[in-house]
Amino acid sequence: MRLASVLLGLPLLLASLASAEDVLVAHPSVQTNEIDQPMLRDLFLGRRTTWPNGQRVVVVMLRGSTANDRLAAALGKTPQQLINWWKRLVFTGEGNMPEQVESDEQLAARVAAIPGAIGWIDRRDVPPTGVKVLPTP
Amino acid sequence: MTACIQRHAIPRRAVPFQGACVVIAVLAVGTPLAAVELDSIQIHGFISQGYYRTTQTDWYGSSQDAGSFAFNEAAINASAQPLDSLRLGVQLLARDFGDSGNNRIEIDWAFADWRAAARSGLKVGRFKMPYGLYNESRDLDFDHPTVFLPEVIYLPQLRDYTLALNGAMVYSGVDLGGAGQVDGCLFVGGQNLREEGDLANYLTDLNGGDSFSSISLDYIFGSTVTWQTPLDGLRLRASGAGFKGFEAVGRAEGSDVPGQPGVYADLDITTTVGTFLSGILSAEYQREGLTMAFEYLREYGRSEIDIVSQPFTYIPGALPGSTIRLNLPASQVHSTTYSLGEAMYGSASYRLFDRIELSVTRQVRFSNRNHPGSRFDRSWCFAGRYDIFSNWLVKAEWQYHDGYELDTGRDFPESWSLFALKTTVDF
Repeated sequence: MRLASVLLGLPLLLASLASAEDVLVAHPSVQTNEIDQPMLRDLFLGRRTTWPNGQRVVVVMLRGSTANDRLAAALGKTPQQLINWWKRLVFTGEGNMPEQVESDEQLAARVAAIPGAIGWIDRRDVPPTGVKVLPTP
Repeated sequence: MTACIQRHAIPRRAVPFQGACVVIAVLAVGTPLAAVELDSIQIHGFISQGYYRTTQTDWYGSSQDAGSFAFNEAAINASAQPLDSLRLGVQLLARDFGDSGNNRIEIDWAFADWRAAARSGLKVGRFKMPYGLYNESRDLDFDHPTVFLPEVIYLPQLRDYTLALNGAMVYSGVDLGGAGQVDGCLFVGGQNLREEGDLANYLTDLNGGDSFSSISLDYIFGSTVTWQTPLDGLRLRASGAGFKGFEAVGRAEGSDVPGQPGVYADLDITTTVGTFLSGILSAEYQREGLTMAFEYLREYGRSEIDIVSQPFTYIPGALPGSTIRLNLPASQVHSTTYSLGEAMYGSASYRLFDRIELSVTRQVRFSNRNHPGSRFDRSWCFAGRYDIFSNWLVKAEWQYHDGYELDTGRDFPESWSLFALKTTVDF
C-alpha cells in the first residue's frame, strides 16, 4: 500500500518540484513576450510550427535532466511519454524531432544561435545570455 | 448453390533485407536518439520483431502450436523544411504479419505540408488517414502500451483501406479561449489496393474468393474534429470516413465434396460496395503517466454480391475413382446485404518509474447489428511494456476472446487466446 502510494504520487511529486528558477529561453528574434499553458503545449508538442509572425518554431530540449522532467510534467507527460509523442510526429510525417542537447549551457547557446528557437532550462544552472527570457506558464 | 471455399496459404517471399535490418538495429541501439541530420534533412527509422501464438484457431497465418515469427516491420524516413511554411517528407515501410505484408517495401507516406497559418494548412500527397485516436500511428510501437491496437476499431484486415490515402487534406485549428482548442480536417483521395493485400485476405475470410484479378475503389473521403478540452489532458474526437465504388473480382476454386464423390465447380465472385461509411467517437485522458481511452465505432455498408458458377461440374464416373465432366449452363446468384457494424473499447494504462507501462483493455465488436446472432467478439487484453532505453522497447501481451468475429481462421472457436511478444528499436 505504501509502495502504491509512492508510485501513484511520483508524478505529482515531480510536478510539484517545478522550480521558480525554470524559464523559457527564446531566440531574440522571437517577438512573443508571454507564453500561456495552451501555447506551451502547442510549441513543445509540435502542434504549432510557426510563431504568430510566420517565423519557424525550432524546439530545443534537454536530454535527461530534471529541468526536462519538469517540462514534461508541465505538458502532462512523463519524460519518456514526451519523447514518444515526438516520435509519433516524426514517424507520421507531422514534425521533426527537436534537437536534444546535454546541458543548460548548450541549450542556451543553441537557442541563441537559431532564429525562432525556444527551450526550457533551469536558470540556476546557467545565467541565460544572448537569449530572450520568458517566464514559464 | 453451395460454395465450399478453402483458404490457400500465400507463398512467403524471400526477405533479403532482414540482414540489413539487423545491422540497422545494432547501429540504432548504439546511438540512442541520434537521428542522422544532413543539412537540415532529418533521417529516422525503426525496426521491430515480434512473435505471436494463438490457441484454438489460426490468426493471420499459422499461429497455433509453435506460434509465428512472421511479425516484423522496418521503416526509414527523411524529412526537410525548405521554407518556414513548407515541410516535405517520405517514409518507406516493409512489414510482415502472418500471411500479409510479406516484407514488401512500400511508400508509407510521402507528402508536402504547406502551413498557411499557425494551425491551418494543406497536405498533398500520400498521408496517414486521421481516423479515431490512433490510426495514424498504428504501426508505431513506441506510441502504444500494447502490441496490437484494439482490433475491434483498428481492424488489421482493413489496414489497406484505412492506413493512408493519396490525395489532399485541408486542416485548421482555432483557440476557444477558456474553452480549449478545436482542430478539424477534411480529406479526399484514392487508395492503393492490391490483389494480395490485407483487404484481399479479408474478402477471402468472407468467402469473397481465394484469389482476385482486380480490387479497386473510386475514392475515399472523411473528416475529423478534435477538441482539446479545458481539462488538461482530455481530448475528444469525432471521426468519419467512407469510400465509394469498391469492386473486387475474385475466384473461389472448386473443391471436393465432403463425404461424396465429385467436386464443386469454380465460382466467379464479384463483390461491389456502393457506399461504405463509418464513424468513431473517441475520448482520451492522459495525465502524468495515466492514460485512459474510450472509442465507439459504427459502420454502415451496402454490398452487392454476384456469384457466377463455372459452366461445368463433375459427377462420379462409371469406374471407381473416375469422374465425368458435364457442360452445363452457367448460373448466377445476386444478393444485396446491408451491414451495421458496431464496436467499442475502453482501456487504461499507467507508467511506473517512467519506463514500465501496464495496461488493460476491454473490447467488443458485432459484425452486423441488423442480424441477431451475427458474429461478435468480446475480449480482454492485458499488456506490459518496458522501455529499456529511450529508443528500445519490449512488450508482452495476452488476449482472451469470447467469439470469433476477429478470428481469421476457419475453426470458428467459441473462445480463443493470443499471446504476443515484440521488441522495437528506433533512431
